[in-house]
Amino acid sequence: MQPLLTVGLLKKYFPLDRGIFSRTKAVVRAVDGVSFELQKGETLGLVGESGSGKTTVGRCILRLIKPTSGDVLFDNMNVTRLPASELKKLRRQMQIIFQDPYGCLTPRLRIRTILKEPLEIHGIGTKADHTDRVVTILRRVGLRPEHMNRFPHEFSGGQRQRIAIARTLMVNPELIIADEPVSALDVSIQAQIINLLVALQRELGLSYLLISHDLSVVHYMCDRIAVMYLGKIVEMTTRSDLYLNPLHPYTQALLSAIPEPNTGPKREKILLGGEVPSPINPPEGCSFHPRCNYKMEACTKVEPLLEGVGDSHWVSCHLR
Amino acid sequence: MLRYILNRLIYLFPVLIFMSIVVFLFIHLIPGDPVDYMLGIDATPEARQVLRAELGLDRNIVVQYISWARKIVRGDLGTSIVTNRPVLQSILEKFPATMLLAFAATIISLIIAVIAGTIAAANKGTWKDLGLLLLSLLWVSIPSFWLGIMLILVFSIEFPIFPAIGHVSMFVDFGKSMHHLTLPAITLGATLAGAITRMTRSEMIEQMSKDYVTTARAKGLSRPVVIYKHALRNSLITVVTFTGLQLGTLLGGTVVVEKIFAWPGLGLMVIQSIFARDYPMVQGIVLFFAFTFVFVNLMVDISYTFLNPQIRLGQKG
Amino acid sequence: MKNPLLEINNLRTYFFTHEGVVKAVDDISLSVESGEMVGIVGESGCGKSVLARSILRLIPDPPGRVVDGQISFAGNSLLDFSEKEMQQIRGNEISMIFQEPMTSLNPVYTVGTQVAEVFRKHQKISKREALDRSIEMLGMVGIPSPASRVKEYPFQMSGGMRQRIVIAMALACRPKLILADEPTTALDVTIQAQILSLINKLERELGTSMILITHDLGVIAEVVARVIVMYAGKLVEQALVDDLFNRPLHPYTQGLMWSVPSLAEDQNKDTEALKEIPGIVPDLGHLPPGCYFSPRCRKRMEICRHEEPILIENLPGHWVKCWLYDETKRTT
Repeated sequence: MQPLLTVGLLKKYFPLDRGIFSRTKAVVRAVDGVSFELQKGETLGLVGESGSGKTTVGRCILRLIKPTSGDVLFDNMNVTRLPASELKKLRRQMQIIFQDPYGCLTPRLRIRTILKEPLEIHGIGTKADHTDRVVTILRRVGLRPEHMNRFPHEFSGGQRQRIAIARTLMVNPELIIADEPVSALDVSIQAQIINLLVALQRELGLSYLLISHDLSVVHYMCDRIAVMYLGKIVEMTTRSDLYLNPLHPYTQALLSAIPEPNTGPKREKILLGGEVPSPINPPEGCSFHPRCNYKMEACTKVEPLLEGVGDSHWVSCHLR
Repeated sequence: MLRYILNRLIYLFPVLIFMSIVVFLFIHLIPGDPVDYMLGIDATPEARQVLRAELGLDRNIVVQYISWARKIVRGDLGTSIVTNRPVLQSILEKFPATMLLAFAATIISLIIAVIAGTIAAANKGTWKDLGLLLLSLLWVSIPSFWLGIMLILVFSIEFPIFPAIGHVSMFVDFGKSMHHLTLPAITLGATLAGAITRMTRSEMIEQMSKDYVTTARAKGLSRPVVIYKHALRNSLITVVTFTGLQLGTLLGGTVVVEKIFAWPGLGLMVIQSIFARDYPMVQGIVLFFAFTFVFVNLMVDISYTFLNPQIRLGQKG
Repeated sequence: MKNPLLEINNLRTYFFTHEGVVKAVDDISLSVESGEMVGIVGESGCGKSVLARSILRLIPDPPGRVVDGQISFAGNSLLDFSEKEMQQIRGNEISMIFQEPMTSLNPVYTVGTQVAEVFRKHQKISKREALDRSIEMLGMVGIPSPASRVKEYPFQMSGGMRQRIVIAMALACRPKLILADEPTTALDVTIQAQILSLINKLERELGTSMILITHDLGVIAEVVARVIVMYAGKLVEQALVDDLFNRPLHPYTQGLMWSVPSLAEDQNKDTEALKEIPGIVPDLGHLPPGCYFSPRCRKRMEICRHEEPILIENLPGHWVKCWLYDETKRTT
């Protein structure tokens, strides 16, 4: 079956402004060759720590940022080559939820205005239809119709995130990119929002690209997961496979680092030495080798490629 | 750091060029024909023509600008119509007096205002704070000519403590120089002091709400140390920037203050030149002021390298 | 029964705002033994940070104030100390670590200066000696090449490094107690593991007591021996760590534990929905009558809506503030 979203060798380099006198133009290699597919109705998780480039990938897919190179194919449209006039059509099918529920809603507009805006932008329905749709969607995200007359500051963080989700649903998108949708919320509210997102997916046949650093959330919500490190995907596979059989040393360390909320003997922690290196000057060869406990000679010189090992399990590591 | 300074210097040139164009156009936008003013209305057309050609006023405006700009670069700011001496020479003679006044006013204002603003911020919401805010509002609002005259009335005439007029060079008699400098410096600095107080206060309030201040308190440091060593040090960048920008207003203020106190500086001279329709002189002084302003702000930018380690060491973070 | 190092009794810290009184900490009692690690768990607004700051008397007044209670530290009543006496305690006998390493350090001074500052304040040593000891501290918290890094500025360091500096500052004078307010929340998970391991190691070596504040139950399980759970300014449950995880009593504690998706193979979106706690945390200025948690509690009884529950010792060392465990009040 044709995937809904195909990302091919996506790269995004940000030039570092060093003033007039710099000789070498330094670049931040935020995304350095990322490829993956997303099927319709699937939830793909993009996991990584700060500097991994996962947020930039999300923005490139929506073309909020222009990629340096690579392709993004969505529903048979080549997003990267789309002229600006066609972008609007695309945006109707692809929506995004952000991390910060306090910053993503215009404080001076009432909820109904915020929610009607997407309909107006895309010219969907008549004015009368708009109000009906707002009511329907508000109910669906667990809020009440009278909430549409209020302002964002009258709501809690969790409620605002619900409004942000409502906003994406207004135009009936196919794909929602959720960039750390619950990281800024309290634990008990996180559960509510996660449940909501899962329920919506079931009801509406949505596909999600979930970008997060929280492995517990990712484990719960995703069908497949891609682990990113310094702008590249180092491992990609199904949920159960990743957690039962992590192959890449970074994935192993990442999983072992998660503090377990239970008693009993704890997992042996794999502690990584050093810090996350800067994406300005990634190490030669495998970008993880300076911190890897298993590094070999080859790792310092040759960059490993993402290769398939077994059933839809991809890893980029010389150990395989 | 060197890269930063070099960058700033490079940007200096387009700014200076643009400024010179503006100054040049200003003079030409003044209504009335300079030739008329210089010769009087009953001059003959021929005499006018001659003068016009002499002053280069009959040529295309771009050409006029270019020839003027060329002269500026060579240091030739023209000749005063009134004194017939080179403008630049007159400016350089009068400049030290104005600089002394401006400098004194700035230093006094800065010291008083930064301390006042800090005290206000540290006592936010109390009577001390309200009082200082009111005072600063007062200083900002009082017109300098009123203040100057009042100061003269009280401290020169009623209680003859300070001299009302005149200027003595620092190098001739330092004590007497400071004595003459006091009232005019206070007058000139008053508005600036009020503005800096408010600026310092708001910046300090913001810094004191920052996490590193809480850390400092949690280390057991005393309140004065937290306020002065930690918060104020971080506020300085904004305060210094602000002060540099206020210099423009300050230089403008010298015009009034120098007139009141008969302080023989550029401010006084520019007024006299305006009334005398001495265009080259006016143009020259305005240009000089503009360049001084740009230069001082360049110094402010460079001072950041001392105040902000991130600039000094080149951003790495 | 030893004398505890820190004993807090019936502490109440209120904030007096235009909109009314906010009871941030409302009748909390807690004790910490020498060498013990105690955790405080709760979500935002529960008062855990305010509690820690109340101990060090760092609550901004106005609008906040400790209105009631006693805080006894090594035999002294901290609430009676003058500001000057508190300054002797802060950074010296009791230190605090904060959440945001990116903003906790002063950007215009080197990290060495900032660590040395603690030594200079509390110990009568020279500038040179303070610097030497600072370098020692940097080494102790695992910063490589401490002699050269001591001259760096915070912006030249990563989040994990900065947090180590903060820990170095906190430990400099070998305090008896450290208050750690969400020390790893802002860090990446692999860095968090490093820092938690460091904290554990230092605690073993130095025997410092610690109050660790967090919303992350996993961190609690890794580090502390005893836990208290806070909700809307109240203490709702207190137990040893194992007891809390094995038998969480308070419905809020249970709800918290169920809200966090585990990494178990059989728990995911296809198998079951997360057992969420409905509703939202109450506005501390407008608290409901009776038990503050009752509006969101699936097990609430009639009495919960009217009367605030009493703290009961359900099992030795396991306290809970809930009518469900008071036999006299239980209704079926």
